[in-house]
Amino acid sequence: MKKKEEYFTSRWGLILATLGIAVGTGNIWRFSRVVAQNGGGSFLIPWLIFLFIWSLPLIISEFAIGKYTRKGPVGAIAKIAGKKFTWMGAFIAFVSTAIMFYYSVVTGWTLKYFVSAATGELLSTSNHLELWNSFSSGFQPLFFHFIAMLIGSVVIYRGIVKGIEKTNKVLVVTLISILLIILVRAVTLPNAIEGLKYFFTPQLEYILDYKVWLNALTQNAWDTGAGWGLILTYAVYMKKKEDVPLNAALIGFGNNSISLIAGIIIFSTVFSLSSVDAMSQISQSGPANTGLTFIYLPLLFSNLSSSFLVNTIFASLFFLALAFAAISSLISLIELTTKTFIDFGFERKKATIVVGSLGFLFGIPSALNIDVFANQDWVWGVALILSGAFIAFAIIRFGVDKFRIDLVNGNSSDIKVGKWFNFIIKYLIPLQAIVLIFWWLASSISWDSEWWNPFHVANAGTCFFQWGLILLLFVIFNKKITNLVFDK
Amino acid sequence: MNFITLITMILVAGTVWGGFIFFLSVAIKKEKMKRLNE
Repeated sequence: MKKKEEYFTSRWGLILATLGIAVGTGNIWRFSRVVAQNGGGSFLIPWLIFLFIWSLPLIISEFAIGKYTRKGPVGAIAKIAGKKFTWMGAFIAFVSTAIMFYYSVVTGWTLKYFVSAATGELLSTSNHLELWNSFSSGFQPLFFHFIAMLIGSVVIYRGIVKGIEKTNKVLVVTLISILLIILVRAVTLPNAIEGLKYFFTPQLEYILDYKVWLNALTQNAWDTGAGWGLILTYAVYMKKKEDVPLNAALIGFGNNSISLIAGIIIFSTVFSLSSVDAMSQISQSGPANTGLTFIYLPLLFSNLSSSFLVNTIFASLFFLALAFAAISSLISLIELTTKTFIDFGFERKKATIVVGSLGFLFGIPSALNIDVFANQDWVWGVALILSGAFIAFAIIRFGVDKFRIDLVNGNSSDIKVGKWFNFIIKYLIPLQAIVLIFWWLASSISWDSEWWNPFHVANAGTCFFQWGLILLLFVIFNKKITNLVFDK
Repeated sequence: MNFITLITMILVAGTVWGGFIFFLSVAIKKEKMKRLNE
């Protein structure tokens, strides 16, 4: 007997769950660091433009593809682009799965720092670098990685309505509420206006720098969740009468709204409380880009007021928000892999146990070795841009105008998408993807003289090696993968 | 706060937050209408 399909119970359930995908640690810790490195307000202008010409069109596309095909990325791309291109869908699914392996480790870090803040340990120490080093070099990351995978898997095991929808309603609403509380405190700190001035003041030399534009595009590609296949996976469970363009617009604008709030919090706090050069503190990367969040911000929280209790409450709230952002994104990554297994014929509960176990096992190297973590973050982070390009390619194969009229606008749309969508999908997305991939890989030559060496942490060689291996396997087994999805 | 900073703030925050609030209000309106029709 065919099992009854599950759907999100309401538009708000779908929106909050999808916002949970988009809002992650990238909004809170990466966004502020990248803004600081790229001239503050100067960065915000291209960041806003790329919301319209990268993120929104891809979010719209993912919603439409998922709703139409009712399959995870593997089957969905095969259905849209043709069965010759199933390997592209498999690549999209693999990239997000590989990210899930190490993103669970990141989620574990945020859980550890929340526990550490709530118990008072974090603000009792004076050397936060040492605290981070002693944590990250031991076995604790492994324990917290396990906890993160367990939480995520339990949610997925419970299904769409009882698991994903219910959990995200709590996580996302709490996350936004906490950020708003911290926002009020941050902007009322003495000198917070200096942070706001930097955050919103454009500088011409930065606006004219092409690297600022490429970083803005990268930030959009990485932090909105557009082109990852995750929104596509949630869209599988949206009701037939549910609208595509309006929901997509809410996700795109909602995600960037939260980034802006996080940026205002970080810049106001750092400019108000920093006794040293605020900019160098925000823009420093630290090991695996952890500097600002895990080393410098705890120091600022200890100077927030003269009351240890008040400082502990705000530090705990901040890391709780960060943990909730991470968990809601991790849930979607686990769901994507689980849905892929379901499409291969597995039953949800069995698929979740398999994915949860694999996620824990393959995340172990990243949990124990920061170089492995940095390598995976680099290789699959850049590969996401390729995933976005594959989605655009599938739509071009399907026919962009037909896709827009039948799948995006359809009969149930509250607002209609115009012909601008065709131009962006046909020309701008492929162009942006090519430029971005070329720039990132070419840039690696400047920081690694052996840029071709596949065993280095972050260069072109390791990308070509790992992408090549996976793509080769998927192309060779294209027919077998197609049969797995469609011949059940 | 100088003029350019203010304009950038209005442009960026206005577009992003304004866009979100606009689409949210459209969605709320559509949901209300849907409920009335049911």
